[in-house]
Amino acid sequence: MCAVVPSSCALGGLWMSEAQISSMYVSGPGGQNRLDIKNGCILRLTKAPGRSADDLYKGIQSSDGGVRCDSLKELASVSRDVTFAQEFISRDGHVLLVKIVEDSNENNQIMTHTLTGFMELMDHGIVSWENLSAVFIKKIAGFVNSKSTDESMQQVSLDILESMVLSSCKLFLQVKQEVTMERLIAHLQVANQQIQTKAMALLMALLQTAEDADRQEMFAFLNKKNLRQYIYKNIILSSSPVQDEMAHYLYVLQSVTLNHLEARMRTPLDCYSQDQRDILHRLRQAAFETESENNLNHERRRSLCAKEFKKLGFSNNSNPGQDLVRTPPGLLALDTMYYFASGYPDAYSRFVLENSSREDKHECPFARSSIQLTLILCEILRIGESPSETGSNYHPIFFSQDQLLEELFCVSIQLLNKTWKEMRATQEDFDKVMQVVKEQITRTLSSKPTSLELFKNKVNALNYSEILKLRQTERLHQEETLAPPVLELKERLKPELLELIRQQRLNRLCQGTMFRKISSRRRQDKLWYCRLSPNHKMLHYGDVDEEAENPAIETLQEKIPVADIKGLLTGKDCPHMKENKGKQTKEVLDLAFSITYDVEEYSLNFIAPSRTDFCLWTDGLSVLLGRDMSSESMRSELEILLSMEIKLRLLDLENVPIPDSAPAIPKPPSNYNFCYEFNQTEQ
Amino acid sequence: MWIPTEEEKIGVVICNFRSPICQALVLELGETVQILEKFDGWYRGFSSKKPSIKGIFPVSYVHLKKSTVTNRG
Repeated sequence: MCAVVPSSCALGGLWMSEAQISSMYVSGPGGQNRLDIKNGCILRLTKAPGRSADDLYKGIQSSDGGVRCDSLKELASVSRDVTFAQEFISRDGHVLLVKIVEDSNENNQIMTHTLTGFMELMDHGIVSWENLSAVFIKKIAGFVNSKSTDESMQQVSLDILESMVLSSCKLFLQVKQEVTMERLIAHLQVANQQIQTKAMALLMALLQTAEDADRQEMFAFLNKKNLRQYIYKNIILSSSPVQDEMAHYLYVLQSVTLNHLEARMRTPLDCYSQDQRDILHRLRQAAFETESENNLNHERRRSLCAKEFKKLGFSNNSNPGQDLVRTPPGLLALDTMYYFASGYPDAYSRFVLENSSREDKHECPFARSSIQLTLILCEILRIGESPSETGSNYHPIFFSQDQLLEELFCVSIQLLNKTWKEMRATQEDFDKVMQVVKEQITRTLSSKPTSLELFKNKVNALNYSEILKLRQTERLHQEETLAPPVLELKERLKPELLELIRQQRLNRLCQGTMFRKISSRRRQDKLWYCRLSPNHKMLHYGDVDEEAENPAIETLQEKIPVADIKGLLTGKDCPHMKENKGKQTKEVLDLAFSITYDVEEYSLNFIAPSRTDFCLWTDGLSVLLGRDMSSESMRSELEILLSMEIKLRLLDLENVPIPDSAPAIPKPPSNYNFCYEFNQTEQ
Repeated sequence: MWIPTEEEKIGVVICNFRSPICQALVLELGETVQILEKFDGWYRGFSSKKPSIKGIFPVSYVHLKKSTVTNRG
């Protein structure tokens, strides 16, 4: 190594003394140390981190403002390297940076570099966040809160605060005290996407680290301050696309908010709760306005209620509350039903009356469907699932609308009624209808509609027949991809597979088959055997006894050279079929084939024992005659082999989209000077 | 210039490729390729079916798969 370095330095025109070289640290591509470097790694000569750390430590304390600025700028970029960071921190460099922030005598540019450098150093996790002073925290929070701070400074300050919140409880409390949420919400309204993202990050960090009671309070505050609307206006509807990091925060916010419904979802109806019973009755009364209820006696009233609950579609009409005992969806279903009934009374009445006046088993049960639909919506919206670390799949529609679940329910329950009618469903088809509705909602949501109105229009356009069409196309795509490259590949594979089938046919002919001669006497059909010689040049045949399993070629007396075979006839063209026209059944015609040979029109007539044998023999004989095979067995076997082969080939491509048309081929590379040379032995 | 690939090592061919361009490999849909180096929209490597024949093929015809390298040299 020592010999190599001076020579490469010499080559590069770098003349240095021995002493300087020994203090230089040879840095490998991944920051490995000397011992790990193997032959062939690309080495990069850089300044030793210890030296750098020393230089920069002095530089940032220089009295010259320009030198300070440059040093801090370099510090910011070189702090990413962990070895440098260790060196700098061991000299307490980070303490210097903290002091610069606390003193805040510097201009914005210098401050930004300082903060960036500080952040990079802390990122390595060498120093804990715990020891930072309240003054420091206040300063950083000040940068975030102030309206006039420089954008890049705010960005990096937000970053620092986020790390603090996530690292310790004590720091979380301090930060929460200092930073106002209003300021954070204001940050979401700026055009700078980076700041929006960082502000969102800090907001989410605060929300997630808070204790339950605290968190409720924070959520209430955010709602009051219209966080959702700001997000909708400035992020969802913004012209610049949402980046991955922001998407993750939106996903987390959505998850955490929807999970507020989890408790309700897991609470079964309490039959002793007067409130809950009242709601059930209100549902009933909203649908069937019975004013004279109070005049009825207890018995009549009970039976009227039962009848009405039945019309409402409760499975248990004398005790409808029982339907809401199952969790999930628990009381959430009662909430959604009531929301619909009170929010959209006309639609509600229409639904119930339409379905309660039929007697033909085609009624769509409101309650039963609502309960199931609520459950489906909970599944689709993943209520009860804690947000994953990497998830970034959020629904834009969530931010367009308060009370998303309830509103989605209202649109979906009417959709359900429509689909029920399209499918002409009866009670037995309940589950099937649910499946279709689930699919309608899922497919529409996956197109990420940005408002409830858009969702409504789309989902209503995706009716039952559309769903059926979509299902069919997808099935086709799964089983047998229609992409042109696949079809092309199929064509390429065909010759190989046809050859396979050809070989198989000839092998079967070599094995031979037992045939029957239909005699006019009808009592004893004579048996005869025919087989091809191993060299495919001779067809041997002869009469055999009943018992003969696999007669050797020598026992078969007759033979025809394959070269003499002139033609192959099948069915009614066969001489032996033409003879006894009247007596031939369709069955026999389908099994008959003949070989014509020699110029004198001799023919050898066969009646195959089965259609399979017929196909085998006609294919095999076609091959011998140099013609294409044509039997239906051949066609179906080819199809099976082709689809198996394609499936095998495409195994590695599962879930990889295959392009519909061939991608463009780039122009040839401008040179062929490859890195790796392969000599003959290595190849 | 041709640079050895670090992360892009294994891929699956997503479309049949055949071209008269010098040193181009013939590749079929679904084949696995190993990549050695890349430049200018092209990879150089070989197919698992015929590892002794090295040639070039376009980046756009390959879907990369995650891989771990056990033997660098």
